[in-house]
Amino acid sequence: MQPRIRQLKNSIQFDSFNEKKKAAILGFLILCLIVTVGIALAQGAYKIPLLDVYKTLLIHIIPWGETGSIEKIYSTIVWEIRLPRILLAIFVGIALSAAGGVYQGCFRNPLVEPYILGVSSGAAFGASLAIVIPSFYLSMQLSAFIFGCLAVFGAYLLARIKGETPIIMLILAGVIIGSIFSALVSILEYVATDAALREIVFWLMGGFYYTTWADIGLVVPFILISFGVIWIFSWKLNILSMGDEEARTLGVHPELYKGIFIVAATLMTAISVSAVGIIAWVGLMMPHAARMIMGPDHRFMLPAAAVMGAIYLIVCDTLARTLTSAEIPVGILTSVIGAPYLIYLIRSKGKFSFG
Amino acid sequence: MKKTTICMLMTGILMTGVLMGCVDTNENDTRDPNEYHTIIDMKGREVVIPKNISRVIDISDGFIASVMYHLGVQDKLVGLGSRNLHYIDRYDYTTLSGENYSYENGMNPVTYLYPQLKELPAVGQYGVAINYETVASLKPDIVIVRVGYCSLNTDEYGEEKDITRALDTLEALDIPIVILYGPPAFSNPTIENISTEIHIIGQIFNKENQSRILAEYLESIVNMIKRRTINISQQEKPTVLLFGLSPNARETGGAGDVLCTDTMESHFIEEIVNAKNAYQDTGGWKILSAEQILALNPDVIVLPTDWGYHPPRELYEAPYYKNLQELDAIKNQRVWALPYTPYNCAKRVEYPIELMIIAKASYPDLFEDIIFHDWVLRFYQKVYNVDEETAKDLRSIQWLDWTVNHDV
Amino acid sequence: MLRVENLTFGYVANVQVLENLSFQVTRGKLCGLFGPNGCGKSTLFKCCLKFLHTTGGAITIDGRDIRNISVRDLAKLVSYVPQEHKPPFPYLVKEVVLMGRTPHLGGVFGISAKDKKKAFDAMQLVGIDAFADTPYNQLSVGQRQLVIIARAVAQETNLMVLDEPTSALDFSNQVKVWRVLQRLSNGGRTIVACTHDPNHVMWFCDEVVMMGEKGIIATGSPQKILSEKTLNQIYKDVCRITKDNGMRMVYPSNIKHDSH
Repeated sequence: MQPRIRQLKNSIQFDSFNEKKKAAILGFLILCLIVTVGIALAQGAYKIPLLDVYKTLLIHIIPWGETGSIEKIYSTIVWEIRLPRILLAIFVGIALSAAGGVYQGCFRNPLVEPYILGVSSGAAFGASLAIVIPSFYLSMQLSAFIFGCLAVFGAYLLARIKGETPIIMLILAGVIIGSIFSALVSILEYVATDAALREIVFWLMGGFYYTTWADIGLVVPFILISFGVIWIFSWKLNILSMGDEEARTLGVHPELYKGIFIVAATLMTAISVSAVGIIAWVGLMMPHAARMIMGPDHRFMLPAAAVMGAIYLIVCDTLARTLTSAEIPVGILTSVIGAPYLIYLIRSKGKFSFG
Repeated sequence: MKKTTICMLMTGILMTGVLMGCVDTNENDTRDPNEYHTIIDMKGREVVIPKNISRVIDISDGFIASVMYHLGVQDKLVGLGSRNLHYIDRYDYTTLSGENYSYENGMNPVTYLYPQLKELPAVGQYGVAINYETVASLKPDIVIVRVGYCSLNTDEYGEEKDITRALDTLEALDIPIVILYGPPAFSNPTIENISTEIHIIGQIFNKENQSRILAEYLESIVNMIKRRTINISQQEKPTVLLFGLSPNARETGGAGDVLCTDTMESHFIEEIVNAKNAYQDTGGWKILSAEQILALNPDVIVLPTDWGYHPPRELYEAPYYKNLQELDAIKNQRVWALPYTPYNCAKRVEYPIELMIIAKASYPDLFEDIIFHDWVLRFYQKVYNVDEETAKDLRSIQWLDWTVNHDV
Repeated sequence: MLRVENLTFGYVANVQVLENLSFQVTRGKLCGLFGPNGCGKSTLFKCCLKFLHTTGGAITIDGRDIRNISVRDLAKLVSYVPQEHKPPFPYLVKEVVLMGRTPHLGGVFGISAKDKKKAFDAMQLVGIDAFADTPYNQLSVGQRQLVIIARAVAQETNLMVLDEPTSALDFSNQVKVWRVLQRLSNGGRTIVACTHDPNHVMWFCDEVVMMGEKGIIATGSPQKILSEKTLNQIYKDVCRITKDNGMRMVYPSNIKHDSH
């Protein structure tokens, strides 16, 4: 082939870089999310006709909508009970999936979960402290958030040697800090009164049942901003995943950017845990699935994982509130539904995803 | 032509808007005083409820259902607070010599009397919040919540999260909710407030006379026991150990659970029966080792339901209790089992049965004239308005037949 | 191009691994950094790339003192190919090579068509453009090494530094890599490659910096520097050099060979 034509053909092939295709897939995933929200909004023990569900939603969203014109019970069920849960499921799904992807990238290991640095144990301790000592001046949610962040900060300080934080030290430090906080939680459980103990167990099981619009207003901005920061720097996450030394030589300061990513991911995880308790598996599975569909380029993988996480949590929470007459803790469902999926992932495409 | 179409369209939209505005089902101002009355619940709230109630959700472990059965209105139940009233239990035991025996068909008396309870959906469960959509879908006339039952917390956060949430959501759903405080909601254990709970339930169903009879009957037993034991001096009081033979306690290396002085059962022992709790410490239910139990060496042992039913025979003959055989209470055969009462966090209507057993175990002479297995039949008859045959069945399903065999 | 003056470094306070090292690398040459295991080659490397903080001395790259330089600016001066690279995720070859453009990217997602073209050119230059769409964890070790080299090429730096680029490769792949390095240096780049194989230095390098346990033994062209005397300084009487048709080769002494 003539050199010039060959060069042209190659440059066309190179220009596409699959980016348009990936953007299209992302768009499709977002469409799936919207459809899932629409379906989930119509599910529930209290039967409301489909059209009334969407009419209620519309009237509340439109600023000049006459909310007095629909039945009060529809408003309560759709707008006060179902919709906040669905929204929180979306954002917690985004937070946990993106945090999982970020940790996997920073730690160069696809088996890492957002809780690896001890944030869940720290948050559990914070919540338990507030429950067992009623005069504790922090609210339970705030206490869970602060101690979750403190745990990660502690792990980071513990792992720091001469201005660097080697990955293996970070993971070990996370395990140590996590088990220290777990032990403290056990002590609190032991000295707690029966009522307080019950409350701690409730909290650890996790769930979306208490979601109100106030929670949404608190949690969503945190998650949106953290995710935004992560996404803007997502190319640098690709570089970081090459290792600290190679990242440095490619112009990305490893300590600075690892710090930014870990802080953002930790904030997202801590606020999620403080709002809904400990929901496992999502942060591990969704980045895997996204990597399989989108490839490992974090610019596309992270939003894909986020959307998939949102869809997954909506499905799990909808099942949690409709499968039986009472509620089911959503953590049980994410594990039960998630485990076989992860087994399938490993068996069918494991060697590609695990690098 | 075009103008007409537009006019018709506008009129159509206008009419729809007007019609939509008319579909307002708020009845706040149009309550007919002949159909509604107001009661005051234990949280001090004024609740407006219909005079004729046909659909009730009972958020408790059966206490409300039991009282409703006494009042004859149990068929109005459409939903329960947990699945605990669905269960029929069986336990198997082995002895040191390898023999096996079992107890079958254990259940809450109201489950036996009204089996339809097993079909009713549960709107809550331990570890999760109440499912309000299920509550709404059952279209109840009233929801009665008993704070302190096993699935609803009573501490500060429970109060704030569960109760406030229940109040807000049910009010938004236009469903009347009545809050009762079971004994765990009070900082010191006391049994008197159960009468208040019974009164309020009676008010809800316009059967205040009947509910008063029930409350007074239960109180009379308490008073009778108090009267008989009031003059016992310190030295004469026997030490009574409330010993829960929980398998979980054994797994963590203890011998069993011991109930401290801040529990309701200990309150029964010390304030009503006027005996002494062998374990003088606070902390709810604590795990103690065999050595610690031997050091306490109580005069009397009472076995509550604790992760299963535990007859005296288990303590006498189980292989894992052979280290305790030197206890005085075991050597003198002064071990008594309380009736089978799972999910007893907030005390049931049958709490006087527990009182009577503790009384007879502590002071057999003072209560010699009361033949328990006969007395308990009268109890069931009075509380549940049943005949003697049914009362005998109830005695069996609470696993109290051993009192017949031992003739106590 | 690369000038090191009086470099001093120790991992632990009183134990100096490198003491007062000085040498220079001429622009546009392929320079071999040669020495036995444990002499401090890798440490020297890491100091030049600012992985380690030196306790004394100065390092200048392309006329700039690198002591106070930012990470990004340093990445525009020198690129790095590690000895071993474990792929964490299945990036495509073209994605990996594109990563080399990072120091030059601007803005939020600043990957432009120009960056992509340069990445493509790099792949062509190194000879791996046939693999552009393959996940790089599926390649052999040798091919993967070429991908990392292409990434360094795409980085468009005047100095390229490689840490034992051929230690893990078979003979044919070793030759392939060295030929690529020669081609790159002929195009104007300065290349410093760490190696402990004297023959590679002999056959492929324009210059050599020879290190021993006490520091730098000699610098200069391999023809002048590599002799039996200098080699036996560091390898203790193991090496012989033969010359055949103008080509010199190092071989071990006391080997059984055909006598004629």
